[in-house]
Amino acid sequence: MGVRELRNQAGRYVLAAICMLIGVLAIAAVAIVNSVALDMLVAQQEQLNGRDSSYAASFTVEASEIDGLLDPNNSVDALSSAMRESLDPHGANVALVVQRSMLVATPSQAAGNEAGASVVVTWVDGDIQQLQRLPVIQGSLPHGVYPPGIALNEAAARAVGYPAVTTLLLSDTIPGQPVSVSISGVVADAQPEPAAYGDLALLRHFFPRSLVDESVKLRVQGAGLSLATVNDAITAQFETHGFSAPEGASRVDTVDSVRNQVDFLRTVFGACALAILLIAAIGTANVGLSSVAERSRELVIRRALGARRRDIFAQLISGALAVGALISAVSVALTIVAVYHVVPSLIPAASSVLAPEFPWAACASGIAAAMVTAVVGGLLPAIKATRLPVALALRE
Amino acid sequence: MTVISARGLTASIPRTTTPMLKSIDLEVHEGESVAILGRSGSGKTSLLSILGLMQLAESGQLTMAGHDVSLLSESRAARLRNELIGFVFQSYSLIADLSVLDNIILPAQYGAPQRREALRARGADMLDLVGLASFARSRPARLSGGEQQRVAIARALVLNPRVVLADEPTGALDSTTRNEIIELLKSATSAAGSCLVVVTHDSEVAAQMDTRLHLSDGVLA
Repeated sequence: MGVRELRNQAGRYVLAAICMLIGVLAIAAVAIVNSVALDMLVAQQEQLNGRDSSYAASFTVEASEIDGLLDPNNSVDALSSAMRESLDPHGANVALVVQRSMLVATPSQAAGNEAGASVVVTWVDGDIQQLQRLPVIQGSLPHGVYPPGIALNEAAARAVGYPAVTTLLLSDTIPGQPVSVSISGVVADAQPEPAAYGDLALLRHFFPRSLVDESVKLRVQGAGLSLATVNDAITAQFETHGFSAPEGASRVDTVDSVRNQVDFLRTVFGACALAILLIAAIGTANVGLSSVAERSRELVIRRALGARRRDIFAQLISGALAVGALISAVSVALTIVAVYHVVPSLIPAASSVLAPEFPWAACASGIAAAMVTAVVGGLLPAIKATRLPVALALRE
Repeated sequence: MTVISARGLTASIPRTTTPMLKSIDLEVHEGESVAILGRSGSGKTSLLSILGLMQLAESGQLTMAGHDVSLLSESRAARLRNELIGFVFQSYSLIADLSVLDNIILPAQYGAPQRREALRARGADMLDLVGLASFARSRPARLSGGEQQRVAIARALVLNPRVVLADEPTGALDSTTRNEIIELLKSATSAAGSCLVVVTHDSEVAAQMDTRLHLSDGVLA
C-alpha cells in the first residue's frame, strides 16, 4: 500500500523525502564521526604516543651494571622478566626502550669516508607493536642480534635510498667500530624525521658502553591497567633487583584525551543533528498537511466509496513509512559509500588506521532516524485526514 | 421489494436548530428510479448525505436493503456504503493519479478481499458497458466530461450495489451528453437490479425517472 501511495503521489512525497534525508544524514554523520573518526584519531595517537593505557618510567643503568649486561642473568633482564611476571595477570605488555642518536652511513658514504647522518634509533627489548601502532610496510621488524638488522621509518628509507640500498653502517656517537646492519623492513611511525628501530639486544651486544647513564624507559601497556598497579609493581621489583625506583610511572598515551574530545564533539554534533531531525520532522509534517489539504477531495471520495478512517490513516502513514524506508536505504547506501570509499581515500597508505568495519551504528542510526521522522512527520497529516467529514464528498 | 425505507427523518442546519429536513418519508423499490427535485438550499444534499450514510439523521428511522441504518458506527457505515451504495457525483470525482481502470475498481479496495485479476476483469467489463474499453490505462484528465461521468457510473456499479445515489449527475454536462448519461445511468442500474435516486434541479432529467419527488423547505412531496 505504501509503495502504491508513494508511486501515485511521488511529486508530493519528494519534498518530504528531502526534509527527511537532511535530518537522517545528519544523524548518520554523527554516528560515522563517532565510530570511524574516533578509530582514526585513536589510531593516530596510538601510533605517536603509544596504545591505550600505556605507562612509562625512566631509570638509568649504572656503569657497574654494563659488564653484566651480556650475562643472560644480568639484573636488567631479571628486572624486565620480573616486571612481566608481576603484571602478567593484568594482561600487560612490558618492554625496555632506549632511544639513542646513532650515525648511519650508506656503503657509498662509508667508502667516501663520510660520517653519515645522525638518526634516532629506538631499541626495544620486547614487542614494540604491543606498545604502539607501528605498521610494517615492507619486510619485518628485526629480532635478535644475528643477522644484525634495523627497520627504518619512511623518512629514513627515503634518505638512504632503500630499497636500492639494503645495508648500512651503524656507529655510535662514542667513537668505535661501525657495525654493518641490513635493513630488515620499513615501518610507518608517522614521524617526519628519519628514525630507525632495532632490538635492544643488538645495541647491548655491539655497543654496550652506549648504555652507561643512558635513560632506559620501562614501558607497560595493558587495557584496564591502572597507574597504581604499575607503580606498585615498579616499587616492588626495582627494590628486589637492586635498582633505585624511578620517581614513578606516568601515563604516556593520549587516547583518553582524544576520546573525551570526540565525546564532546559528538554531544555537540548530536544535539545539532537532533535539532535538524526535528526540523526535518516538522518539514515532513508540513508537507504532509499541505498534501492532505490538496487531496482532501480525493480523501473524502475514498471515504464515500467505503474507506474507513483507519484505511485513510493506513494509506497516508504507509506513504510516509515508504518514504522513510526509501530514505533509510539511501542513507545506508551513502553511509557505506562514505565509510568504504571516502574514508579509506583519506587514510594514507602507510597509516596505522585499519580499514573501517561495517558501520552498523551509523546504519542503525540512519534507519531509526528515518523511520522516527517518517512516523512523527506522517502522524499529524494522517490524523487530520481521518477527521475530514465524509459528507464533504457531496459539497462541490 | 423495498430497498430504501425512510420514516420521519429530520435534520438541522449544522450548529443551529433551524430544521433542514422535516419528517421525511420515502420508499424506493428494487429497480425503481426516483428523482428528487429542489432548489438550492432546499435540503437535497442533506437528504442525500443521510441516504448515503455519510451523516446521521437527528431523528426518524432509515432502513436500507433490510439493514437498520438509523444509528451506525463510522466503520459500519463505511462498510455498508461500500457494500450497498454506489455514488455518482456532479463533478465526477475521479482520482487524478489513478488510471481509469483503477478508478473503477477503487471501491473494491475497501471491500471484501478479491483476486486482483478477477477485479480487473470486472472493471474491464464495466468499462465495456460504458463504452470506454480503450481508455483503461488513461488518466481521467484525458477524458471529456461525459466520458469521465461514464467512468464514474462504472465505478458506482462495479460492486453491484443495491442503491445508486446520483448527485446532479448531469450538472456539468451539455444537453446532448446529459441525455446520454441519464440513459446510461438508467439502463445500467436497471440491468444491475439496483434502485436509482437522482438529486437534481433539472426537470428534464427528473422527467426520465419513474418517480419524481419535490423537496421544498425541508418537506418532501
